[in-house]
Amino acid sequence: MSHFGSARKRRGLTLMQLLVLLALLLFLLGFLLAATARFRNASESVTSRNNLHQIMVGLINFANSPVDKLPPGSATWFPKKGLVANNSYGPCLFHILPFLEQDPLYKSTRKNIDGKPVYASWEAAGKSVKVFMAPGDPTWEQGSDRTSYLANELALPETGARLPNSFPDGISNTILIAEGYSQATDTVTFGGQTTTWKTDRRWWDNSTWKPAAGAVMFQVAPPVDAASSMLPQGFTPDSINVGLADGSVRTVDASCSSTTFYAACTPAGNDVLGNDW
Amino acid sequence: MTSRIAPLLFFAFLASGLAIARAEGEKEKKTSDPRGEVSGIVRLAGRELPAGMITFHGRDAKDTVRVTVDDGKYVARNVPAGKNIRVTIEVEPINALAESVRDQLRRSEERARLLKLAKADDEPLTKRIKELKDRLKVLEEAQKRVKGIKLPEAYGTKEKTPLKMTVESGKQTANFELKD
Repeated sequence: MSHFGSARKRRGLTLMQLLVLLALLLFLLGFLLAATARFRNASESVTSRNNLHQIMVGLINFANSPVDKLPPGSATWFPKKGLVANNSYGPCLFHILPFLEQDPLYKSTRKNIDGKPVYASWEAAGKSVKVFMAPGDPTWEQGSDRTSYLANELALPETGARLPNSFPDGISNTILIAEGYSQATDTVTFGGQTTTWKTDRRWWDNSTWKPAAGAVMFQVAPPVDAASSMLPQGFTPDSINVGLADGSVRTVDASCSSTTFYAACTPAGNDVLGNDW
Repeated sequence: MTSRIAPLLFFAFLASGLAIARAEGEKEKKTSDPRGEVSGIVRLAGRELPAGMITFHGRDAKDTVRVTVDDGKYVARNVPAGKNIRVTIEVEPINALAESVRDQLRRSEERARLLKLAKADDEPLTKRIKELKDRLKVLEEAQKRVKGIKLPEAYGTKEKTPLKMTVESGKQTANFELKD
């Protein structure tokens, strides 16, 4: 009987050892949770930069194709004007599909309009393209046809910009694409009436912003209900990622002034970027 | 026995408390900064500004809060508390927002025209066109009210604005008198 009792004593843990172990485990768990959160944020940021990089490569390859121009930012006919055979209608993210290994999706939008075969972006409505959605975008939805990347209408005009001639300010100083929430919310009060408008930014339809000089040029990690439809939005509290006309991706600090950010949005503003760029 | 267990229990609970607090702290860091609610009147040359946008600028872009001014009145919530918070006031964003909606409407109507040519129907598009028309109506009304109003550039530039204030936690009033 006494032999059995001493064996149990050797194998088991004392209550004190158990409690110390439990305390240590819980303390380590705290560090683990914090580290996991940091790792997830970093990983989402890297994914967004990779997506942006792929979009920029698609844009540059498009400009190097026989078309010899960058596609328009907002939805329009391109590369020819108007409804003519084999022309395409859509915004820039639609036009670059064949350069993002999305040729089958692009071809699936072929349609006859008024007897003319054309590619029409709205035929892709409801189709999700992974590279157009950033996991760090708080309005991200699995399988959505929205986008977390916005084209700069000033740098990507309807007529199509040429590289590098359309960018006298410099291709490495001009933003073509910026991160932005896939759903914007504007709340306005006019005439005593408060209204909230939601705008879905869809890659095949409405995926641009038109920079207008002002006190606010971009937002970083705003609350979902305060993401303006007139501005791009970074997904982390300290920066926003942008794609430049030379094909590179840059992380712009949240402290960048609106004057400098606007200068980076204009392709031919004859302006110099500040030290905060 | 009880006297030996008590300090150990205390240590275990303290450690677990620290661990949980640390994890939660990481999550809450972003929103724990003190915030205030600022409301008041904006006047231009002694008269209420009919419409516009007022922006409170904290340290950087993440601490920026922008709201509309309606008949001089505004209410800005979640403004970061602090000294020397710069304030900018503009009317141009109303025109920019109206232009953006007008542009979306023009493109949506073009798509509707093309769909008609293709003998196709798109119910969500019809609904969207109606929504955009409603938005434009509100914005064009606001545009009419600010027609001819041009504020000095400094009021709309964060780096040049003469408007600064101290924002504290809780509700407070701040009136701004602008000069032509």
